[in-house]
Amino acid sequence: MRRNSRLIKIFLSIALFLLLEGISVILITNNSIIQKYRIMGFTRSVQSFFWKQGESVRYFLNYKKENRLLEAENRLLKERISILKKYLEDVSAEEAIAHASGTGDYTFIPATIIKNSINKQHNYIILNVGSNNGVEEGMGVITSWGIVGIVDAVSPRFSYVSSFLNTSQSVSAKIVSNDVFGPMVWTGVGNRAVVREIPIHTEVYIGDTISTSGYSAIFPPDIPLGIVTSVDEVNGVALELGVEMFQNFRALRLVDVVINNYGKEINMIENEME
Amino acid sequence: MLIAVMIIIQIIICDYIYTGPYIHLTLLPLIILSISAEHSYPRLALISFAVGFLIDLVSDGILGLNSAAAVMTATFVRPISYITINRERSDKLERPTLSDVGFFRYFRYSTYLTLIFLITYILLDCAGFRPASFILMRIALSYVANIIMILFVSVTLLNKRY
Repeated sequence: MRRNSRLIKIFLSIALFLLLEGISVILITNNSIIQKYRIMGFTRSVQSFFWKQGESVRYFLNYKKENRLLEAENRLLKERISILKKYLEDVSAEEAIAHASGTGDYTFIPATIIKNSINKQHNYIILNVGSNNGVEEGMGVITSWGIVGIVDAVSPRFSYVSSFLNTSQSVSAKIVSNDVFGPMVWTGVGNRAVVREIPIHTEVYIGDTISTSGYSAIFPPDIPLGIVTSVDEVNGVALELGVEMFQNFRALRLVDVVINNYGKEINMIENEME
Repeated sequence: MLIAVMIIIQIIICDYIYTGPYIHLTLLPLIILSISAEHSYPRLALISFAVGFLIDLVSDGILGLNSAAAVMTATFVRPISYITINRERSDKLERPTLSDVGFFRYFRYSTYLTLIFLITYILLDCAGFRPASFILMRIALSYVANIIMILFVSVTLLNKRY
């Protein structure tokens, strides 16, 4: 009788262990494909409350750094304005009016990061803008210092962004000096990335700048991404470029969601051709 | 009270201390060690699961990771205390502390439990995405960082009777 009750206790303990581990594994599975943000909507809304509080504290602590970034961005914009002013002086009034009447290829939605993970294998970001603000799945997210990620899921007030700090995500990048392009992926460590599939005969040097190629409907062209830090030959057929990214993901707060004004049209043509 | 303080410290560690991709700093094994040994296994497992889940929920974590590792660690608390401290003595203790069992026994005891926690956590976090060398390096470095922290907290906080 005593032995039986002991056996029942052991059996119940094993069952409880399996149950708790099972629940944990189910949670992990759901969460690792949380790109399905809506499935975990309730949990995330609880978490976002804590994240918001935490992020406010972090923002307060990073005030100085944030200001320095904004100052640098202002300087860059002033330089661009002066270049454009010079350009406008050189073109005729008719030409200027003709250019000004068109709409740009891209529109931007300013957003603030309320959650930013950087030390995972698959990092993600939550933005304080959602479908109410015009954000849709598949839109790019950038800053003046590079790309940040791609919107994966949207709720009315928030967006879940698959960060570029994600070993499975790539962006089409080019070498600024010669326009040769290839996919750029994060290495998984720090701010380092690699640009792959560069033809072996390409002239590329350490210190060359890498920018977005614009060969996708997601990111505008010519956003600076980083600087080449190493050039390696792969199997004698291609080059692999080590890149130190400009974007400091640890100091991210203000970003822009990119709307490609012709994106839907491009996708429609692509779908028709397929 | 002490456990609540450690949970808050753990949440702060998760949210505000970036230790790089190779080091996972956690107080959760120590929290489990601090739970009274008088609890039965089902109660210990449920408490560990709840604490792990709470940390996952309010900190920067994938839901389920800490709770899975915490339950796994809780499962081995008693067998490991029997192996490292000895059965009779560990049954008498409310919870093993440095002054009760001595440095080397306590070191072995916390080492095994920390390793069980870290191996479970890191395998669930990285397996399938990262090479074995990365995983082994992460386990090794995390173990060194955590055991130093655990011994430090054990000497300063847990060595007294609460």
